[in-house]
Amino acid sequence: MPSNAMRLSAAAVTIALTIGGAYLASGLRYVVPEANASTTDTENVSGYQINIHDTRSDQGKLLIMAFDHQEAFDALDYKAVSGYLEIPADAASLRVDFPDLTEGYHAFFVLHDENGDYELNFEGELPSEGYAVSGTNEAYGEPVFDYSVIVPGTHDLSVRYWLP
Amino acid sequence: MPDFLLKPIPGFQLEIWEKFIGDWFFVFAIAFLVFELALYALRGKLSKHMADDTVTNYITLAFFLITTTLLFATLYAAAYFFAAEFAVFSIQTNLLTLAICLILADLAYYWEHRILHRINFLWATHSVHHSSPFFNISVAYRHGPLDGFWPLFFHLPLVLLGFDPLLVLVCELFVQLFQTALHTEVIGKLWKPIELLFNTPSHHRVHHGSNRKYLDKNYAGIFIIWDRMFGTFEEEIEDVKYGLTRPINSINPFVAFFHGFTRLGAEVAKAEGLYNKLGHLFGPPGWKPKKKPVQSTSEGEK
Repeated sequence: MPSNAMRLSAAAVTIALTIGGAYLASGLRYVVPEANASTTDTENVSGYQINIHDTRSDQGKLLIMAFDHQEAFDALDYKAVSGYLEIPADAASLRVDFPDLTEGYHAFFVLHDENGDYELNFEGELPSEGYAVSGTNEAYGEPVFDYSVIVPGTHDLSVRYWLP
Repeated sequence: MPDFLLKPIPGFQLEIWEKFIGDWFFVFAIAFLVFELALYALRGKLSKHMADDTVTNYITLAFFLITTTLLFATLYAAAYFFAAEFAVFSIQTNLLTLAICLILADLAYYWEHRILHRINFLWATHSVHHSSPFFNISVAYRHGPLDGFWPLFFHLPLVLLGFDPLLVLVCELFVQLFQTALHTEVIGKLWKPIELLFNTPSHHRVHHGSNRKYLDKNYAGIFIIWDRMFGTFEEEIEDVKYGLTRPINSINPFVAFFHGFTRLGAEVAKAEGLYNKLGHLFGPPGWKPKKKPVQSTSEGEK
């Protein structure tokens, strides 16, 4: 049976390993060094830094929309966004900054608009173009505004394609 | 550092992995159980008692899933996502941080498991898992009423430190599934380096033993090194006698599922005075009131 000294040292080792492990993990990140676009034409010093990964081709554009209310998010209404950027698609990871969105919560939606029609196209019930949503949504459900909102900071979004 | 190790893993990918691995593992477990039972039959060891006990294991699983889904699932998710707002570090989810999170989740599991064994009101739920007198993969699915609740408190610190809640949930699942696969008698001891580093069927048989020398040993999930480091390791040497030191002697799933709490309730009700009642609740299994030695055995009971 372990003694109290063993229990205490075991607890101390556990705390040290856990905090040390988390600290180590915080430094293991994929950094996209320079912003490819910014709503204020300046590098992010506050607000949102959105890294976009896994775009499958250079075809078309990436439309990056920030929403601060549900109706606009549900309709993907790019006229009612709180922030908007449009950049050429690139298979490499890209970074876009929203330095002016410094307060509150925003939900981000990235559309890989391959055919340039500014719509998320579908084949049957499945999207035929890639998209990425911020926050934590169910993998097989429709994005929900409340689950998609995120606080200002650096966030990684991966574009998802349902069809080849 | 190669890019693929640092490339962020999206949340939807984690969820897809979780569902895929969880579902297919259950299919594997059923197939493996059939294999185990066939081997018992060939060796003349398959009894009606074992078959009934196996059914009881899956009925307690159904009870567990119902209580967990109705009472704890929402709480679990809400606590994790709320805690994530206060994270100390910003940790990206990638293959390297997944590996670190898995190791830390396994360490958290070690302590969760150890404490479930050493505090009576926690043992009341975990003792359900240990109440089978047999040891096959179906026993891994034998759960108590609050088995889905207590892990929250041990893994929440990982979310508070900055790991993505979904990543922590996936790592918890990996630890759980790894350990599930260890519930078998058909695999003997493995290659020495594996036995040294990892939890194995042999190590976990010891954990399920009610032999005096095996009590409160080998709490590990994936890595047995935690037990070796923290003084709770025991090698499998003598034959294992599975089950509790006070067997439940029943295959009734209701008896199996609630026996820990009915026993604890009876002990607390019978105890005289607040000190003794608290002793039964917060002391280790086998705790006795004062005037007698504080514990009935050096390691309590199982």
